[in-house]
Amino acid sequence: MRRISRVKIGISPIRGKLPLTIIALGAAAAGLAGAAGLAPQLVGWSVAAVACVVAAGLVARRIWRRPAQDAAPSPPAITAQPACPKAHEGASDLDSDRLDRLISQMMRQGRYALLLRPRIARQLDEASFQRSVETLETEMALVPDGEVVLGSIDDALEDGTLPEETILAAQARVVRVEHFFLDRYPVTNEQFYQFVEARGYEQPALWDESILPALLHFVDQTGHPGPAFWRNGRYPHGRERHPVVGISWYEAVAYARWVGKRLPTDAEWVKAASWPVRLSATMRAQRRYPWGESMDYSRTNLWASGRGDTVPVDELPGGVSVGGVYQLIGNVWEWTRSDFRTDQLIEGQLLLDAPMKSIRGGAFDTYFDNQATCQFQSGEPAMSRKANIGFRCAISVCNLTLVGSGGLQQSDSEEPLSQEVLV
Amino acid sequence: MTKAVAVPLDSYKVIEHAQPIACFICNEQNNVSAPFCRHCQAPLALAHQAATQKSPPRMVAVVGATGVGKTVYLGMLVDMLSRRVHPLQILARGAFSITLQQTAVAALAQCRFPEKTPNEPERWNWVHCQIRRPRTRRTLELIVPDMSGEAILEEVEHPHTTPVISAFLKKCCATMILVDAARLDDGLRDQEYFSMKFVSYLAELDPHPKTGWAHRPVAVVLTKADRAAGCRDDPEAYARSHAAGLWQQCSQRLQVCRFFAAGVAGGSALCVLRDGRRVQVPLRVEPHGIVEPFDWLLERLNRRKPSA
Repeated sequence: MRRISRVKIGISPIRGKLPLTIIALGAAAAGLAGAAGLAPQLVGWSVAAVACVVAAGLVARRIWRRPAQDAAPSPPAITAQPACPKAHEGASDLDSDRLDRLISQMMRQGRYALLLRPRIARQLDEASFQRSVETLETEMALVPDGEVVLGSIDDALEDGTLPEETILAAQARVVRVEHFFLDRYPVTNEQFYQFVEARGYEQPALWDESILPALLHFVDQTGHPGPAFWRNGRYPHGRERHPVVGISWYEAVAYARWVGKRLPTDAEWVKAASWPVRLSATMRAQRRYPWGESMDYSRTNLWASGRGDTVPVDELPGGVSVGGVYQLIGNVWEWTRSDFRTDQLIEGQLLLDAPMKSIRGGAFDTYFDNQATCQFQSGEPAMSRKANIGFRCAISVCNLTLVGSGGLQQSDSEEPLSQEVLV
Repeated sequence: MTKAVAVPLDSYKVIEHAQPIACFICNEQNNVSAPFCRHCQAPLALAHQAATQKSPPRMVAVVGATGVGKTVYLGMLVDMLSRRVHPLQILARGAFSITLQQTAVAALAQCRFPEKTPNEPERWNWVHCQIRRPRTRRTLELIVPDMSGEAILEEVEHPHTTPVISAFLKKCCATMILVDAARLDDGLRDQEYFSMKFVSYLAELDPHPKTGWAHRPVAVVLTKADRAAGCRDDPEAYARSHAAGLWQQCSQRLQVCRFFAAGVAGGSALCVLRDGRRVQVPLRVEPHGIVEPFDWLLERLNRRKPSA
């Protein structure tokens, strides 16, 4: 996370100011020469030099402007470096306006989590900071820290309770998770469009270095960068609130980085969905489905629900988790940050042609109820771009500043997301 | 004048033979209480069930090489259509008709594929069901067996070695030929050769110019389509490029033929079992394209009069 938070996002602000800087330097040189009372020839040379510099500045300005004109809306010019304009430290009105516009643009793009990164948050004014926190609370749900059991324990759950000896018998794992925020909804087409429009596919800093050669394959049906089932860089008409699908694990990770978040780990996903509670030293409670212990097709979108396609992410409020997260079960499988574990089968061990990433939750075409529980894990190669796999993002609380100036400032330090606990 | 008659102690056999029952598949006479036909080993329960129907059931064959996914396809088809999510509905007739569905679904739900179908015909699962179609008042009685791939191949290569197959195929009104698209995708052509042999066998089995196999509907289903890129988008184009021989054979010999793509597993992987065996396992079940070929066949059958 440390690496991600330090990544420069978008075009550096100096890019747009470079020609003006050159012009200013030329004018200053001429002024100094004149003020020093130097020989008329020297003043003449200075004027000539200024003229050259101005001309060079204009040419340079034209050159620098060109990509900005080609690129529809350019990515927001913000950087996590200290070079950021400081709104509350005597910045000019122009800078303040620019910062406001930038913040508004980032909020519109769903990149509010970036604004709450400690290094950026401390440079925001109180109103912008509060707006970012409110958006975070609206769009994401806080999942408390604690332990969660991972493994094939569905058959062992009795009314949602899980004796400790059953965990051992089922070869399950107990994992401790730190508190984190999880998106209330899967990422939608219109949210992902912001990423595509901001040329997220062309920003190498957002992508794993190893995957850069494959970026050219991440195109839509008309060859434009974007999810597999889009056309001309646009999502299908009327599906703006549907979860984005046809994206590989790498595209999901790149989007998450762009908005200042990350994919949830396996343990975090299960924790948010099954909402485990420790009842006693030898007994735990952990839900089979986010709403309880038995399947209810009116609360989710699976094959048996009969819809046969994805639905908008804010539908099916009956299936919401205890923490207020929608559609964790059904609609689309969700990429997680974790690898697919091949040692989880009781009968044997899986041999994979290529490493797989863990996907969770089931989709609109998942046939069996027992393959759409909080516990069920499936795997998919990271390069797959399927019509029933989407994602949602998470962010650790430790990576955010949630209290205004004068209050508690969270550090930007790296903390383990989850840690296996010995039972 | 009277004549004494000696009645043997096993006279009950005579009484039984006095009420014989014809096998529904091969029409040979059988003991009414026998479970299987003594000639072709088809279950006589089919004949008992058929006797209670007003119109005789029609038969559809689902064939393919070993491991192509016949049991999974049939089991999923029956299960999907009996859960009332689809407007096309299936109602099983007789307890024996549910065994196939139960076997396939129980395995898939546990992320396993069902065991290989045995070669012995008396151990095959048969489905006799009633089909209700939307916008049609008339129901359709249908018999579909889950035949062993090895037995089909044996019969195709050496006709009449498995009488039940030839007898059944003669009476069938339509067939589905399953072809493993994943193997085609890997460049392996064994599936294509099997299907070509089968189409050729069908053409010779009933070459009648008007009612022969050339005029009966045949659906070629490319299974495991999730593992073959491009197969689901255009199955016919996929078959033309990856199984050109089969495509040519079908277009030349069969007048009512269409290509489909189907898949049951959303993903699969190789599993090394505790006993060292290696088996393919589904990572999750997401059926696609299962009902479409069946629906198409029924649509074509509706246009034809029953031959049996």
